[in-house]
Amino acid sequence: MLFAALGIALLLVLWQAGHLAYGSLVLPGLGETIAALWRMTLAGEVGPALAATAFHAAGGWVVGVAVGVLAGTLAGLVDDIRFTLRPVAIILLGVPAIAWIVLALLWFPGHSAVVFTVAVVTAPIVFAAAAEGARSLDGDLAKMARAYRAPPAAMALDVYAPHMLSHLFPAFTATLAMSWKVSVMAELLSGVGGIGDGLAAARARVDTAETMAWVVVLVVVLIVVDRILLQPFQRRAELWRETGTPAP
Amino acid sequence: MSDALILDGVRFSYGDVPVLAGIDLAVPERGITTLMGPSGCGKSTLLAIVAGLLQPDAGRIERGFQRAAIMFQDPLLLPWRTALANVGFALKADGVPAAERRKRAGEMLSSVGLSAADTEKYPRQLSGGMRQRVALARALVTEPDFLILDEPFSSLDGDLARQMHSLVRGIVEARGVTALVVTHDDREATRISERIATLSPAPAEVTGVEDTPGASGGR
Repeated sequence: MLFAALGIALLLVLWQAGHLAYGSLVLPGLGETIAALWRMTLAGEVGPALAATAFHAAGGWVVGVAVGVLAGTLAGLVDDIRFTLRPVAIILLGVPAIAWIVLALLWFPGHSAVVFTVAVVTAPIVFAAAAEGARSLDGDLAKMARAYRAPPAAMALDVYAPHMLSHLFPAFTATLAMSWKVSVMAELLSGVGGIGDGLAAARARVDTAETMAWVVVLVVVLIVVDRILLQPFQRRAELWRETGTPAP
Repeated sequence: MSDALILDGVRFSYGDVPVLAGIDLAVPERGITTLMGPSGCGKSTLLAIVAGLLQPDAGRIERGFQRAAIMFQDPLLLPWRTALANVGFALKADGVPAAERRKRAGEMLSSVGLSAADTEKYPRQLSGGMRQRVALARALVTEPDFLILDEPFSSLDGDLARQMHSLVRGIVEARGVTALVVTHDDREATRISERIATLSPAPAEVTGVEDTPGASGGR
């Protein structure tokens, strides 16, 4: 905890030093950024922008995760499906997010373009994790479950899901953070509202303090999502690995 | 005494490799029948067929029992579930409500010698013997009348394995169930079972069935 605070303090010191060296236009100081953030908050700009980006990021992420988990699980269980879908996932992974944004803006109107972009960037990563998770389950555990005639829900929730979660969590964490960044990027180009739209407006006015304020908002959101949502859920799901001492 | 299981000319191959060359065996109701034979002769395959996990290529299987439960060489516990939840898992097929599952699983774990504190432990926190007890409780909680035990205690040291065999023996007698057990230990087989069926090397056939001298007495 002490070292974490030390790292953050070091970053802030470097930020302020950069401001002193290059001036407010290139890098506004801490005080200017906080003042800009306060002004934007009072003007009612931050809340709606946050809500819009959250909607885009969460919507796209949920769709991407649903598609990725479903297709990945099927691919992990059935070799033919894996051989068919794996090259598709590799090709989709190779398309840069910015290219998807441009295509999505041509294909879909408004908010849908942003949600689609997040979904299409998220799904292949989750697919790969889900496929590996389903494929790597100890076959004997599945045999045991079949021997006890486990119903499909028990098979999914008691046998496959807990094992797959250890593969899926890194993908969830990475894609959730990425979903916010991709949303902001897509909003910046599409002008459908959100933090990206705020960044575009600040850039148009050459208001670097406001630009930095939006960056601060985004970083705080990412940290909060990770600490409040992801980490507690991960700790709970992986309790069995850490509880108590192993038997000798 | 009628038969709990009749195998008549059961054949099985893995691809082109014949494993069972026509198994003829009758397992009488109640008591323990032990299957013995060299490694790789198809004992586990035969048990998997009896349990319904594999389908034979040919032959007839007459199951005179209502419900079978299987215990494997490895306990095969779900590592992310507590001992209690692992035992309760076996009851999910019957749609038993969660509270009832916990109650029955707790009682069964207690009957195989686990303390209340141990029931809340994850498999990695339990010793090898305790994990086998949990696996045995999981098999018994479904109230089977036919137990299939595939070398369940072969990984335990001698004393512990004997202790577990005695536990199974006691349960078989107390509940009046039939058990089909695979073991490599002929002294143990003689000690706990009523009869021993011997298989030939693969492709396996039954080469002999003999009653043990002590039967169920003096155990």
